[in-house]
Amino acid sequence: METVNTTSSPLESLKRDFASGESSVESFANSSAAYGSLKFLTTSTGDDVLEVDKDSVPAVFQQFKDSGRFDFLMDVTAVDHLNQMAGRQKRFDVVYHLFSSKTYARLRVKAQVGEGEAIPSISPIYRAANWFEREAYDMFGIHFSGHPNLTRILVHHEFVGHPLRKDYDADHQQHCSSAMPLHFLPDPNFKSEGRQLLPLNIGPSHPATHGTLRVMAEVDGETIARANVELGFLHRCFEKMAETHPYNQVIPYTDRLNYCSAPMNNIGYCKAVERLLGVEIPARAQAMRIVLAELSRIIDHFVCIGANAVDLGALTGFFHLFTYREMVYSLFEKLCGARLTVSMTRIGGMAQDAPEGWFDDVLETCKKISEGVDQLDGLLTGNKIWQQRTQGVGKISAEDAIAWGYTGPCLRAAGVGLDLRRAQPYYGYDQLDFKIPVGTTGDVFDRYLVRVAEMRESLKIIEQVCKNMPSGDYTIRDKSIVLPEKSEVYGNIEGLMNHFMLVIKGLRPPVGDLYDATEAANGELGFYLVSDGSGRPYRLKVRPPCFAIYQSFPDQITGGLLADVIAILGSMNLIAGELDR
Amino acid sequence: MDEMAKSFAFTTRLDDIVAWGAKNALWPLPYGTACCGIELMSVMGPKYDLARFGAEVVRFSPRQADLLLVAGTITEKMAPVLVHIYEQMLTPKYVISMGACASSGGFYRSYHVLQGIDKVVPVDVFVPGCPPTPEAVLDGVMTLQRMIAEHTPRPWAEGWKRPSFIKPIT
Ligand code: SF4
Repeated sequence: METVNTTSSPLESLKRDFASGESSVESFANSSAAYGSLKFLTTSTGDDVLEVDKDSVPAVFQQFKDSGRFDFLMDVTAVDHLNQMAGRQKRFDVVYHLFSSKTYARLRVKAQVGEGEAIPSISPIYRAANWFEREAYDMFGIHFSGHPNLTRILVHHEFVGHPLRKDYDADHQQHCSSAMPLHFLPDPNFKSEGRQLLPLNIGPSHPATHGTLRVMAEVDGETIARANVELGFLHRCFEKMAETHPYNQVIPYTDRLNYCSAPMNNIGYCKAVERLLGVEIPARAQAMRIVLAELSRIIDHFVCIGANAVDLGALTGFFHLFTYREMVYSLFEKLCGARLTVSMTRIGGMAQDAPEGWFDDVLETCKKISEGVDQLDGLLTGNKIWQQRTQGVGKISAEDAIAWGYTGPCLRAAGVGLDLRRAQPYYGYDQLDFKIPVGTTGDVFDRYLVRVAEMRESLKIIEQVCKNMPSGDYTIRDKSIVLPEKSEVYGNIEGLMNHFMLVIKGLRPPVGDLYDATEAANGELGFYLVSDGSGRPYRLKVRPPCFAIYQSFPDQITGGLLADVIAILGSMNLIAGELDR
Repeated sequence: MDEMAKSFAFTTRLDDIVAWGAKNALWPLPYGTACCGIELMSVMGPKYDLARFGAEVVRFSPRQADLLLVAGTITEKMAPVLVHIYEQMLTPKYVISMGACASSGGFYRSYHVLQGIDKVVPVDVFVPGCPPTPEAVLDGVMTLQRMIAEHTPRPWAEGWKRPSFIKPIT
């Protein structure tokens, strides 16, 4: 993949953009006529931030879109500043995260909104904004004017209030008395044209919807005339829980976001907090994290492909793959005692070192997995039935994929070679030899091929890292961040006091906010973290990869065959834990 | 049955034979919603192999299942669906609650999580863990089998009524 120079400050050229032709930075004050007051800043963690008036939001985003500067809208969310009103007029911040697939630049845009005020929706400009804005409305009660369908998305339809507001109690439950009837998006252009349409409900409890997804369709024979999805059946309030727990206690909750590859979520979260703290973890911890992450990527792809094949009637693959998946779980068990939800990372490094000979076990297992992947390849890739069920199904173009905010294997299958392990390397991924597999058509078959190729690359990575495992400590030894060793705690008074202080007060990152992302099995897993300097996150927003991908689902299946719904659903690798949070 | 009983000589009590049949041919409906559901897949998978206990006929239709295996978090939004499915199952029906979430809400003491499925359906066996190991789930199934074999009274299931806050699905 070509490398792009990202060293030149994106902020400087951005300022020039807004200075409407004039190159001097001072003159961008003149732009206030078109864009309202703009304020460019760089945070202490190095994130670029642009503060805008809420009314100039559409103009500013139109400019981003037109100039081609930021093609991805990664996330839209809000922060309730009820407890930090000093120096502010308005209660909420609406926060947008932008990303460029060409320069890999990121920008955070913030606009202040008061109680009961509306902010213009940017869903006409960035298609991906639709669900994200709905979520901000659901959680915070922020009104987006001009939004096509501003309704609840995560909590149930009888819910009263907005749970992520600071004045909503975390454990205040509200019962739901019934399921919602079938419903569709308001679409003025939709005409049934005399067709006899049959309403059809799939899920949430249906073998192909994996327990928590609900697809509603109206079918004309075998063809989907229109479709809608409902989510929120697994909304477990991750973000609220994070706000009410000390930093290290959030780690087990992150495990349960994408439970098919739990360690990758631990790593993403810890990496964000570590960057906020400004610490770098030791080389051995970095290497261990890479091994854990790549093993998780492999089993995640196993589950995705296995489940996809089961849904299409091929049970053999499932049993076959799960044999190899169990091997990885045995490795995890050996490492820390847990199988699925390992919580092996800590802020500052790992919870403990690997036992004697563990890395040899990993290499041993990788050999077997590699055989397993070959067999899987033999079982499915050339299989006529598999090909006919998946080729040409769920096709998506690169432009559309970007517009929807696709990341990960689904995006790469559409032909965009974006992978954060290469684009914004962390933990020394840039020194490893591996390729980024890219597809051409973006259909279900390509997604499958990309995943198979990725597993092979992951095996290569693990092998390289395990053979060159750095020695040294598995965690940093900063007394204000990491608990002391137990021998210290029981052996001397300083250790005991240190332990007490950390357990009672928790670690305290400086005031500030940042967005940090890693390449998880599904795509870009981002954490937007706001710290008020206390022992708990003030706000933690997860950007789950499959939320953006699933958003395109009704569009993707409309006009297609009913049977293809199942094939597409399985290939998207939807994990309800991170989808609904 | 009565007719049949007259024409055969049973060496044990008839209801013991029926119980023996029921316990060795459980048809589970795997209600996997979250992480526990993934671990339940392992229980059904090649290594742990639930089939050894005669419970391999997994059915996703409540009309064809007699064991509701709830694996994962049940949210307030999901509760009416769960009750609906439980009501549709044929008697005798059994419920295993797998994992901390299904049993008590787990560590989600939060605004959208039902604090235990026993608030809406009667549970026979609770399996602890987050997620429970596959061995623990197998132990839960064996416990239920013992209960069936021994005709353990189940007053919680007999006296069950749909909770008042959930409307019937029409
Ligand atoms: S009990 Fe634990 S593993 Fe099971 S669903 Fe709940 S959080 Fe997930």
